[in-house]
Amino acid sequence: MGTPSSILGVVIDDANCAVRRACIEFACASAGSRWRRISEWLPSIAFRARVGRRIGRLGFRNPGFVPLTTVGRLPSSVRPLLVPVLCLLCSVAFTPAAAQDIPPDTSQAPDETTRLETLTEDEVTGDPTELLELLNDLRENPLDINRASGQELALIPGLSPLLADAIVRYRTEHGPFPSIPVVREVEEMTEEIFLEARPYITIGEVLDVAAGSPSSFPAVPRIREIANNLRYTATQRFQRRLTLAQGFEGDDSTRAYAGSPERIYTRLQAKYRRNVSINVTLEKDPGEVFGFDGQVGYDYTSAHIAINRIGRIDALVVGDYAAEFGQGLVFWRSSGFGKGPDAAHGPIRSGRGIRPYGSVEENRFLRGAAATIGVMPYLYISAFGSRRDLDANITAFDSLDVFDPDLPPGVSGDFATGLGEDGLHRTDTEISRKDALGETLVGGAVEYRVDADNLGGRIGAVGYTANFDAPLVAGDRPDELFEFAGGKATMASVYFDLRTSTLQGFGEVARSPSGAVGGLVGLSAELGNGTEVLVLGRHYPRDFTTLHGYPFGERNGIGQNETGVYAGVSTKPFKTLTVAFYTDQYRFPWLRFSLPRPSSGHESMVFVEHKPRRWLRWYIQARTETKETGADVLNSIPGSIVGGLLNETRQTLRLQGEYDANRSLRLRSRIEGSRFLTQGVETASFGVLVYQDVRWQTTSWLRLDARLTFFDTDDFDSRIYQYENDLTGVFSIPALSGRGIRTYALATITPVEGLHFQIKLAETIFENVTSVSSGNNEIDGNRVRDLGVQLRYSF
Amino acid sequence: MRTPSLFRHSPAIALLLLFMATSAHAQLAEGGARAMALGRAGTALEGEVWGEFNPAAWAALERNTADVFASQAFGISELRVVALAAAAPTRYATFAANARTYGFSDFRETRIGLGASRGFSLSASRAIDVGLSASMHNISIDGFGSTSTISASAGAQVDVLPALRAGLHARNVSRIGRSEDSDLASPLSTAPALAAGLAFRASEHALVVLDAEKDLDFPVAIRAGLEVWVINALAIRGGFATGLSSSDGAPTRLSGGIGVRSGMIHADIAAEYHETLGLTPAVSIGVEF
Repeated sequence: MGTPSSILGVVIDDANCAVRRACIEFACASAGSRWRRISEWLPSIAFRARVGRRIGRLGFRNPGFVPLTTVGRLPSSVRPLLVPVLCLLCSVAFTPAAAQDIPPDTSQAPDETTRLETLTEDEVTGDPTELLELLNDLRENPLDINRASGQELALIPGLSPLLADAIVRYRTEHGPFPSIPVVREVEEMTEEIFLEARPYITIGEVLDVAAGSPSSFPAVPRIREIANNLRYTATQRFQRRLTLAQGFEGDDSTRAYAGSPERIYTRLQAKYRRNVSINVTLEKDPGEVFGFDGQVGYDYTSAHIAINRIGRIDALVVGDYAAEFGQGLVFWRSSGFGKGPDAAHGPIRSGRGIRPYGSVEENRFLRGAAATIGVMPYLYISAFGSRRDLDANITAFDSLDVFDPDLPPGVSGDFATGLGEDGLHRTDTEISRKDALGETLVGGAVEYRVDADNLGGRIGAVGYTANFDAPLVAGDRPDELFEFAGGKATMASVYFDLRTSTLQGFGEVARSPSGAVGGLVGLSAELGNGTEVLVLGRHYPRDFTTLHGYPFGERNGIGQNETGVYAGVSTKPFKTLTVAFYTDQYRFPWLRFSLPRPSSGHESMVFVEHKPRRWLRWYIQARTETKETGADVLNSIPGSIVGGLLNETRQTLRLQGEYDANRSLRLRSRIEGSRFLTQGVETASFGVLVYQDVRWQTTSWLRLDARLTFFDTDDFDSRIYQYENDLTGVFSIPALSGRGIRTYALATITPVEGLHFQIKLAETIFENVTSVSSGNNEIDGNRVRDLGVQLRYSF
Repeated sequence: MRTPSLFRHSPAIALLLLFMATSAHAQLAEGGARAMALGRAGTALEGEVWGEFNPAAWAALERNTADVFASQAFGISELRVVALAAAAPTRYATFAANARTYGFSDFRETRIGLGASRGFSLSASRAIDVGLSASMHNISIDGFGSTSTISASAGAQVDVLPALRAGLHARNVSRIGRSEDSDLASPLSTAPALAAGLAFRASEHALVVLDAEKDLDFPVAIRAGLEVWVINALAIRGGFATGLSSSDGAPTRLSGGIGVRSGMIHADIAAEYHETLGLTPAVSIGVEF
């Protein structure tokens, strides 16, 4: 009695338990002032039950745990009942104490959130998962700071092409970097950029002065070296809405959705650094059938074998691939960062050429074979061929239709309308569209990589010709008049991206299948003292259709019927202060869906970020956008049969604070308001969102992300988006409208090196509603719960 | 069958119903006269024995403290609130208890709360205070019986900079007592709310507090206050609170007060002026030992 006994290294006093016949005790291993620190903190933890003379113990052992010899004592004055309270408190906010204020180790917990949040401002039409994947891939295969080319380095978040070039120039002049921190000596490289880029760079064992120089081809590794160093990754993901929607109700014959409500995703990869990749991706969306009737279980299958930057082979892919050239007028796949706080860089694109594809966006990639070969170290030639089936509505040809004026000339068979975008095959209609239209594409590109003393960059040309098995027919609405029509599409462009040490000029001019010529041109300059400006103009005529492009524009990815000018500036008046601003003016010279006249709009954003300490950051972001919308009721012109236009203004104001309590605990608060105003309508609608977010790396093997969000908006127009942490590789930005609370918790468990297990549970509870969503997605009640589980194993 | 005596107090009942339809929590005077005088911007206020606006505030108390509080909302005796609070710092945490009651013979709402708070050091120079509290609410109406419900609240406070303290507070997030059908919701239910606040120690003598609170049933409220210690023993306080609302413009409350501190004893007086409903006086007296 009274003798300290040890449970998992923590001594607790026997006295408490001894006085009762039966009791339960908790022991907290605490890091902190009084109790000796444990190398890895042990979460809450030991239970001891005593019944009479028998003592039962239950402990949760931490693999990184170091047994202690000296320990504190729980005082007997603390009543047993109060101890659990203490433990609860511990588990709320107890973390290993750091000896001094060290900024969080960004190589351990990199966070792209800030950048990805900028994508949430508008409806995301691209495929942000591709972006996530790129960043994830960069993190897993960091770039060798002594070998990577300027083009590769520019992929790193935070590194502008100019800065990437500066790094290459530095190592050419001063010799290779002896260690990573030396990168900070490069001109214009700030501490912040360094910390942001840190997770994505590494330093090779071999220092090779010539490495990465554009004057020679990359070294060719031995086959044995590749085979022995392949890294295999298997990912299995399962996501499900726990509350079933209408579309899943009823028996097989009456149910709207053919398949089960799960989203199942499987991916198998084998990689050798960044040079060799073998991949299989399988996915089934909610509502899609998992079956073997014409498919391999999953609804979507993608695979590739690829090599990258080995000798003369810049890229070689068999299977699924994506092409990205120039500024994306002809070929682009993923969505870029676009407009956002990175005002002087966001809209700039830097085509990566041929890339293997293994993401889950089902429509915008190519399937076949592709290669980029270096003829000379400066000159690269690409050739690619693709044959794949696209989702489309196919209308059977009826000889009675021959005189239909809407048919394109020469149609004498089935024809296609409406290419699919979402890749969902749940209902009978959707299933009938699946893989209905074959596309055969052949293309090529030539690229000259400039590397003169004061000038670097690329000049190139790219083109393709695509044949569809059935001709595409544009719709008959006036706004669809200039949509692509026909069975064959040929498109080509020339592009350039040239840089000096302070200036970057880039552009692309393309000829669309219709013959229309469109283009984009921009100039970015570094004015010193951290001030950068970007001016960018684009002109995509009304009949400029791009089938595989995804250029910068107001309507993300739709490079048609738009003319606009963008100007952005970012500056650092003080070391701790960043101010960014952009404005974008645009005009749509032809009609758009539900807009009966040519329309225009403008958008501006101001972003002010203050970082008084390395661990404290707060910012204000104000954004306003006014654009015209159709107003059928306003036939203001007498006798006009065409509707009028009204201005619609959407504004958001966000205040966010972020505090890194220490290496393992991050707190983040946000308050955001929105205002939506329609011309001629007296009252605006408002919305507000408040959240509190916690990220807690409890131990080396467990990370918790949790958030509590309150939202209250007058209507859907004043909705507010929030970026959420999700399973690795999943992009989540729910738009919240109505009134309610959303909570989520995400646990990332890494029990052993290479094994990641994640589980996310999210719940949204709405106030005063009896159903959520509509149509097949309608859910009874006011709660929506989602579960996601992912297991990822690399070896 | 006897007529419920409630009708004898019909004007007061009408007011009560009004508060229940709005938010009793937001209208009643509570949380100590100091926080009231500061416009109730108490989320980042440290060392408060009440813990009403943030249970983490208890952690900074250095001595055992007990306070008694009385207020009469808008001068209506039926809305008189009497409350007690005590907090005891121990080596491991500060434990707190409080009780509050308001009403009159035929209608009484009582609340009893318990909580604990403590600070955790994050590094040599930084710490985070975390607090939890649980309350039991009881309402009894003569002739109609009584009902009870509980709610929990959690908060944290951090000195983000030497002179700047940030506070967070989440109230009844578990939505206890709320129902999908608003008719079935408990009349006692406290609406879930999430608040964030800052306290800026402008000088040794001046404190500025600023709060934003989102109550699920109301527009975001912005609250602010200023406390100036004119002499060592005397503080003057002022504050305001306003709701940011889409159209109707939520009512604004102005408040002011003084605080006196001498040895073990401290006393605070506050008055809060509500645009439409009028003046609410409040007083609290406490002892530290």
